[in-house]
Amino acid sequence: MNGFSLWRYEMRAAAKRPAPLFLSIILPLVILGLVFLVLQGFVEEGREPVEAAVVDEDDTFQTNALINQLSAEERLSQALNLIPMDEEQAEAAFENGELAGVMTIPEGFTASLMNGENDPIDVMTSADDPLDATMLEVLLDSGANYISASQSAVNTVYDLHIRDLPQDERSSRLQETIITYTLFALDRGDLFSEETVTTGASIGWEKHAYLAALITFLFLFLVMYQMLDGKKADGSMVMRWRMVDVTFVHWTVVKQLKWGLMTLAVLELLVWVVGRTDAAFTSSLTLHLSLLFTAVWVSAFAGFLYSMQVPPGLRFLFFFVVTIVGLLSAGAWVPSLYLPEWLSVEWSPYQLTYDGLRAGMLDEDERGHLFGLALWGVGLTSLSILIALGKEKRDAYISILTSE
Amino acid sequence: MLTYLFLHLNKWKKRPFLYVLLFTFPLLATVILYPLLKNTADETAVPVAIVDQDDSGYSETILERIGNSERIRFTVMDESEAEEAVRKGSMEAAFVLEDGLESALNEGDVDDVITWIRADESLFDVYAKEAVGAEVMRLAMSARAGLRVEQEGGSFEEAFDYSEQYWEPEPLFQMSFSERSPENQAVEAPKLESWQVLIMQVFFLYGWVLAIFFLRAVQDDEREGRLQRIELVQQTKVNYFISHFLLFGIVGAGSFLLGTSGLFYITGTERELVLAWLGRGVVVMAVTLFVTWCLFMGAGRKRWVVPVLVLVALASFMLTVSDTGFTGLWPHCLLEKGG
Repeated sequence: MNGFSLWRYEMRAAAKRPAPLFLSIILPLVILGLVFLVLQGFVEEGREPVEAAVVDEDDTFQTNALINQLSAEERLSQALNLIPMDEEQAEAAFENGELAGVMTIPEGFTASLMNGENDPIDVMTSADDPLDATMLEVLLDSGANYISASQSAVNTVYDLHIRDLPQDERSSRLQETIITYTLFALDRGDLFSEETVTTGASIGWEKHAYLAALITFLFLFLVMYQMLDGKKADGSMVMRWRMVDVTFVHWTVVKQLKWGLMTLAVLELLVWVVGRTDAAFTSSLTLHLSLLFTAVWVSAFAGFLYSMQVPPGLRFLFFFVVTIVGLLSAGAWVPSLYLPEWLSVEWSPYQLTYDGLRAGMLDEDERGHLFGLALWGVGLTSLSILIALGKEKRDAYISILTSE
Repeated sequence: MLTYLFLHLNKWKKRPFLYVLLFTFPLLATVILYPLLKNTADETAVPVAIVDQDDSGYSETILERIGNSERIRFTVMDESEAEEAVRKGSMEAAFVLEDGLESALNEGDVDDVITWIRADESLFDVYAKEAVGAEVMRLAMSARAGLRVEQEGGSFEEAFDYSEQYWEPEPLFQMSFSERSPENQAVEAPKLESWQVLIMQVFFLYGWVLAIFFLRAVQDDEREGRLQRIELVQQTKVNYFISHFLLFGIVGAGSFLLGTSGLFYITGTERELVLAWLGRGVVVMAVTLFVTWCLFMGAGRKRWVVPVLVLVALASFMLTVSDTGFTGLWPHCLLEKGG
């Protein structure tokens, strides 16, 4: 009964002072909104071709072929706009920030290439435009391998055959070889015959993004809410409650219940909101049980920290850091497919939470994670009650176990 | 003056572990999390299956060479296994080196020697395609040179090996990239990695917020009558406030500097960069803390000032990091310009 009074008191406090709840919803929303803006900026920037200048100081047939090879290749030309310029023009444009990079082919480059020396071509990339600069590096690097392949073959044919031809024939044969081999290397798309299979189990990028946002919001919410709402009550208030046999154990249980209820409400709301988009969840008993058990374990974790009497600020930091590692390891942001295997821990509650939500999105009736989640919830709740009991005993107050 | 310093320090003595932990939190987080995150970032790769149907010298060479690719994890499988893995989503894509690959390349025919199995959602497999394609094309070009020389009466093997030797020790055609700032193209300016700047911004926010919470000590002293007693006995509160301001500065700047120095040390950042960024950081932090303290005092040390200042700090961080700040005057913005 006394526990119920404390519960009513807590819920009334939540209704009368809504600031913690309000802030815990608004701040994560703002954070996610800003992250979305930044990512959108990246995506939009990535769509436009990278502008780069090429300064050809050697100006020979080979260097022209090379520039053509780089700029005419199908995939490269979509992503890269290579503009021929002279040195001054390129310098001025780079200074104005119009270019992501300048590629300079030095004088005597062709001769060095024919000799089999490998003088690298200098590419200056812009420090002010790191995204485009990285893109430029990736694109040019992939082109460089094909040029190496065709040039090695050209050199071989020249050294072992064309060099021995009469002087007047040499140049035309060399040019012909270069053209044929360059075109041959350019047609690398022909190497592959493409087959597309439909995936059944893969969640897809769009759904992954929704799930990442949902799960990040959920944890940010609780990490903040348990801090803003979890201030220790005033000494006099605690004493008064103690007079009616409400001990720290009651506080721990009631706080956990309250946070759990709020988390469950937020989760159900999130699932409903995401359900309005293309990435709908399939409503099923398993999904709602997953949500319930998730709310139980996350609030039990917060309750565990509360029972340890960790101050709110420190609780926030600890919960926050553990959550970052947990969500990273669960593949909530970068899909676990790409992450090293040692990072993923099957029994981690974050992994089980992610699996539960993922199964809900894929409409899989997979229940393996429910047991794990329930175990974490029960384990952490029992632990926090035991710690709170221990504190009561240590402080030599009447234990709730012996009180009437 | 010392008395007042001890007045504040005594409060910390009650829970030394807590205050030391709060003060050194950025440093501890760096030391604990950096190795984990670095290993994760280093080993993040796109998983791709590769199937060798040809089982020839060429296909073995290809498997051996692509094994060294960065950011792509190739796993050798049989065809049905590979297709299933792509379907299940445990592999981004699969490449099947078709039966007859070696003989086709030796005849100068490269069409459809590889089957590329991908899923609708595959995104990064084009990089694997580039890696596989480059190795196949290397062999194809060497074989083509061999064929041509053979037609002219030379030896295929000799020409093939001759062409391959152009790849040792380095490929014939390479690019050397150097990053330059548009304002100063002549020298390669050392620069912090963008994630390092981000972590520094987080530590700056942490130090600032920690200092703001320390302002509550004044509110507590005022509420519990200590400040009034000091004024009564000493006739002035100046010394009390000076000592509080000093500690306020040490708490904020100290925590920030400790974390940032730890970050620079653990990542082995160049000395020149460290000095430049730390110098800039100290100045920006000092000005920020001074303005914060003036705002707190100017607003009459009211209870609402602390949460409002925390929100200002959060806004400064978030607007700068997301590049949507309406003004360049946010402390985080000023800190970033140091680069």
